[in-house]
Amino acid sequence: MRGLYVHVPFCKKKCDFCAFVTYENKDYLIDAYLKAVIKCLQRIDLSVFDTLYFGGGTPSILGSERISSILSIVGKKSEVTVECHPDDITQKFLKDLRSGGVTRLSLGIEAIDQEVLKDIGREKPSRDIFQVVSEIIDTKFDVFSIDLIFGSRKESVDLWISTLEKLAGIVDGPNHMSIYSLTVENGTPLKRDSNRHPIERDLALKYKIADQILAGYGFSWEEISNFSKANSRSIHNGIYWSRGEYLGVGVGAHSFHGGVRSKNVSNIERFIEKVNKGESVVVYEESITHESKVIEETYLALRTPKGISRDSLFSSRHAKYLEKYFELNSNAVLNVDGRLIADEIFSMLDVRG
Amino acid sequence: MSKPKVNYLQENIRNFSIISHVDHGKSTLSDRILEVTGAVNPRDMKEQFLDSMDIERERGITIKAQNVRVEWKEHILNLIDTPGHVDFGYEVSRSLAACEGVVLLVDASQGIEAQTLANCYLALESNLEIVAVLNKIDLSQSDPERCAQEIEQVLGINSQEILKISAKTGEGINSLLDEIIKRIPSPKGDINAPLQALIFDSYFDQYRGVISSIRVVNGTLKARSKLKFLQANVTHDLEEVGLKTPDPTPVDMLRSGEVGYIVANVRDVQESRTGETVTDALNPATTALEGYLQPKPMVYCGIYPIDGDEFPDLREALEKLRLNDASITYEPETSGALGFGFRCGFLGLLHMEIVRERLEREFNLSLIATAPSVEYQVELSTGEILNIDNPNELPQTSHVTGIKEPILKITILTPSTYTGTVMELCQIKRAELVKMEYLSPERIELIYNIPLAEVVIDFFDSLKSRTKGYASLDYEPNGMKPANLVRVDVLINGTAVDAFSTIVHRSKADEYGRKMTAKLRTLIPRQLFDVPIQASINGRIVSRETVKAKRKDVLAKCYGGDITRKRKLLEKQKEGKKRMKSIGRVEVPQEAFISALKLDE
Repeated sequence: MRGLYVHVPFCKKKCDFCAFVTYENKDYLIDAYLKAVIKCLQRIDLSVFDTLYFGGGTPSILGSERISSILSIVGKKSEVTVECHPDDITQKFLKDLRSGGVTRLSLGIEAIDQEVLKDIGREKPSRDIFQVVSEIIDTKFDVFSIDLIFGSRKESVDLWISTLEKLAGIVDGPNHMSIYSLTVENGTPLKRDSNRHPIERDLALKYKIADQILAGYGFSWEEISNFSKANSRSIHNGIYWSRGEYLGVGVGAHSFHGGVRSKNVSNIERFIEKVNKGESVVVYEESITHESKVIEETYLALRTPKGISRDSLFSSRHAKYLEKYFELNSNAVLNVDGRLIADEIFSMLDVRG
Repeated sequence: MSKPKVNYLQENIRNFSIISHVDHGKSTLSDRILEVTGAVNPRDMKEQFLDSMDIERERGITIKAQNVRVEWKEHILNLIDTPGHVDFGYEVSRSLAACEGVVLLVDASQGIEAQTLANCYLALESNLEIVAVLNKIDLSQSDPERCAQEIEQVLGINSQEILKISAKTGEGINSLLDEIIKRIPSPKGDINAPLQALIFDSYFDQYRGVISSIRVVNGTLKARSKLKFLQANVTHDLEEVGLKTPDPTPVDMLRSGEVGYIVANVRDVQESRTGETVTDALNPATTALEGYLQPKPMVYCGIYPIDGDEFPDLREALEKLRLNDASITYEPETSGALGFGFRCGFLGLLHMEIVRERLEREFNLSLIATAPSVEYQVELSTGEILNIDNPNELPQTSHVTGIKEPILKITILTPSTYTGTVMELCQIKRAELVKMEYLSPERIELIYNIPLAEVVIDFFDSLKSRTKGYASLDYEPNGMKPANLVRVDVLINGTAVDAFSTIVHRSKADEYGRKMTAKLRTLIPRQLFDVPIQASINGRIVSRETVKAKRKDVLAKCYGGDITRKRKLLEKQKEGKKRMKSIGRVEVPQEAFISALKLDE
């Protein structure tokens, strides 16, 4: 499997926690940027890709016509995802996307309570979320995914439970949920305001609550932060987690091809300029050594239900303390307590190249 | 550099030291004397010429004794520079034994300080002629009249005879040299007697072996003779004998009264220690000169390489340093927490600091040192006496009938306005007042008996900060005394960590326990479970802190395929884990040990 990713670095308003490459006041660059992206796409053999993913930023800001024009260049793929902001959703938009080949719609809700939205520094959407959700359901995408962020100090445990119940419990509603813990990233407004930093104990509790509630509605985990109903797994994301190959097109996008990981320039003007001059947009390249490969395999597998080999667990001198964080079948798979401390557990494994 | 011109005549020799408190200008005066007598061309003059080690120059103190021969008006003057710190008191006394007189140098803006007194008493005890000199008279804040009065009152030196100079500007240096010739007696050795020569300093040169500074007391030390070292009871062939002018200048012989150096194929400084008597192996003197002492360490600590692989390098470095400094002792020791290292003994805290700094600087090692400790005498119920310098060697209390600790007699000189705060400090430090005397209405002398263990932990710094730097301190050992001492152990998750064990007075044990557990709570990273940190005395827990368990440690998202960033974060976390030591099942980073062992932070 090979994935193609297109980065759309525009937002109406950038959220306080966001560390992605995205701009809130550069809409005047949208067309120049898309021209550059299309140039990039025209240089490559697009037939080799199985999936297409529009990420951001806010891809839906482009509107259905621009998205469709890219879709027509890339051609039909078995999975095509578009990340959407609720305010960009209209029935026409949805219809255009569905008919243009989009199979998977990812809706960035993040939170439904106004106080919580304010606390994480995200603008309150002008459209009613549940109305938007029902329009998406009516459009019948193969996969309808919802993004939530938990861990605001303004979000009581009860509020979190009701948020999950209201969304996961919708009949014929979303069949995929991305549940991200609020993360303090360097360089963000959130980082500078420690009064809004999440509390670890609260994050742990809310994650466990989410795991249980989602399970009750038939979701099982496919990755630390991702839960899905039967046959609704994300193929594109699965490529990242299984060390498959992918090509990232656009500013700040990442690629993995031929054992080399690379990253594009993360300044939009530089990106456009380089593409127009015919220069390479890659600013970082790393050939993955055997040792790095083993490390990647181990921690990525640890983050999914695939798990690591029992040997990988029992060769650690800490194995006897770590055992209780795993379910042991043919592999060693993290249980919910283990998932919460996956990084620490990884650091205690004896991973050798 | 100058060649010796003045011919030998014992009556024309003057051997003297300059004694003073730290910072009173001794090195500057030495420099000026070298310049004025033409021994060193002003062009070649480095500041503090005699302080040859980098550390000496940086810290502005003299660690090793040095000597230089200069000529002044048909006389030979041997200036013997003495170490300027109380840790090296024995070396001072040996340097003085090589002299007939001293120049007592007092900063005219400061007055007499504790070490001025201590060294002056040493000189008086050795019946040396004292030429008192007030320095820094060029400074506006200097008060030579008041200082002269103080010297007269405290030391009984006629204030009319006190010279006033500025080593910095050179004012008064010529008349000082004239006075030295006039007032300090010439040596009275018997040139026809069998050779007796005193070694007052030795250092190791990697090409020539041990080079020793030497004063001939009686007889003649001839080039190419066979020498016998009386205390070490070894003989060596003399390779070279010479004068320091200040460059080493070989000569045919040194005769009674003369000061110079010898190179005698000695590979180990232990055989040519300060205080050793050298004689002619073919016509030996039967008795050694008086005053030889085996230097005894006062302060001990464990020194460990941060990287366990550097243990052999540390051993080699210690061996090399000891070639130069016979007073360091070291023995291998093992710590459950710190691995392999050495228990080292030092003359004092400064000595400890200097040795550690030299190990790190000259041998490029990264070290971790345990808290300084002293040597205790433990009496067991069997009647047996144990000497222990490592807290972990203290047996269980049920077997111990008593513990004695070393006591110092300290002399503190301070402006009298600080008397209260100094006495308060001494009270906290379990010191007992012996004597209190006003040297003048403004200055007071306090003499205390104080446990050495209290001095090695931040006493000097506290004294300085309480008196804004004005108090001065001198000390000498004053026997052993029984005390109510206990060992405090620190337990991490129930496992005692040897590196943190310490012996303290019962009255301070709880406080130490509280401090240590509180500090460790901030230093030990959170684990997957709650980690109790406890301090215990004889198995009884006196304080407890808890490092709370990690609840969540996982990055939410592998950003749009940014696997590299995630991998690098994890690699870093994993690398950190590798460098941790396991205490039971608790992982403790090396940095936690280093920070916890830093005193009073």
